[in-house]
Amino acid sequence: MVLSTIPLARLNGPEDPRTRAPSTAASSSIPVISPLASQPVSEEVARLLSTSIDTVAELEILLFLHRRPDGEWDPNAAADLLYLDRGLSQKIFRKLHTKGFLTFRDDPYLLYRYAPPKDVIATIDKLAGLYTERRLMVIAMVAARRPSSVQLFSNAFKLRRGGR
Amino acid sequence: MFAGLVYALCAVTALSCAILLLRGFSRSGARLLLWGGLCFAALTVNNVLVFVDLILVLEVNLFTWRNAAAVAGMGVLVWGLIWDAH
Amino acid sequence: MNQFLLGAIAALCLTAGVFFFRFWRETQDRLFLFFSLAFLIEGVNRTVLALSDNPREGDPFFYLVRLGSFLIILYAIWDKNRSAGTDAESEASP
Repeated sequence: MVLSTIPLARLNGPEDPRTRAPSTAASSSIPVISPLASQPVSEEVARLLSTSIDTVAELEILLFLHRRPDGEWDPNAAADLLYLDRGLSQKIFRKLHTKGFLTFRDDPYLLYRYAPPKDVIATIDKLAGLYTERRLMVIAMVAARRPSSVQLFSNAFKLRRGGR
Repeated sequence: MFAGLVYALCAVTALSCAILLLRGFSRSGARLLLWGGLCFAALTVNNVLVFVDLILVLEVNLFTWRNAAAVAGMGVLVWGLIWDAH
Repeated sequence: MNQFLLGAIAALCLTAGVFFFRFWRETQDRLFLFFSLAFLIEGVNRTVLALSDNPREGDPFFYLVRLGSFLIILYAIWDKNRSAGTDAESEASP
């Protein structure tokens, strides 16, 4: 099996703060950036990105699993393959499961399988295609997401401002 | 006596949470943090009033006031959780 | 009136606890798990208070339980700052 060329450097740490948009109290929609005016981003893909994908690492893992729909994955194995922190990988797998993209079984040990709801399968296919063709644009869309108010609530308890 | 100490600690904790959330609101403008901050401010008042009631013997029973503060605080928080949490 | 207030406080605490539980499930952010626990415990505490014939917050049971729930919140804040910047919480945009 050949791994597709994932730019691994992007997965190795927190997102570049320069790509983070300053948070404002304005609307919570993400900007649909379409440098190639001939092909606008489809609405379902934009909605999927804005509602269900919080970070680039999540996107990478989701698409990693999308390319291997028949496999069952242990988060640690995926982490090692993608050069991700194992704890982060476990967290993302749990998040993706909560969001409905994955199922899991517990024996012999925790294994996840790609299993999105039927109405979302086609959208993820489109997203995967879009990511292959216009990777930077998709990353910019994810990075430009303003943090949810829930995330801001939690971040408020960070005593030092460094995390911003 | 120990009870008073406990409620004083709770008041300080609630005040800290209120300050952190209101600071977060001033930075981000996210209304959920405003409601959360106001909730913990009201809980601070609630704990302070319980402390006062227990430690200082006043003629006026603060029972209704401290419960009004708590219900106002929790009401504001739940309102915010319903409408402004996304 | 007071009975109503006590009952309302208890119900609102429990509701908040459930909301925080949901946020924990959605974000996997431990802070919400702790806040959920704290508010659920406090909700139960206030329920017992509301149901008692002579609600007295000076009773050891009530203030010890409240102490417990506030200690959980303090722990949540400490935990948040201990791990800030080193784990996945920082991977979300600020």
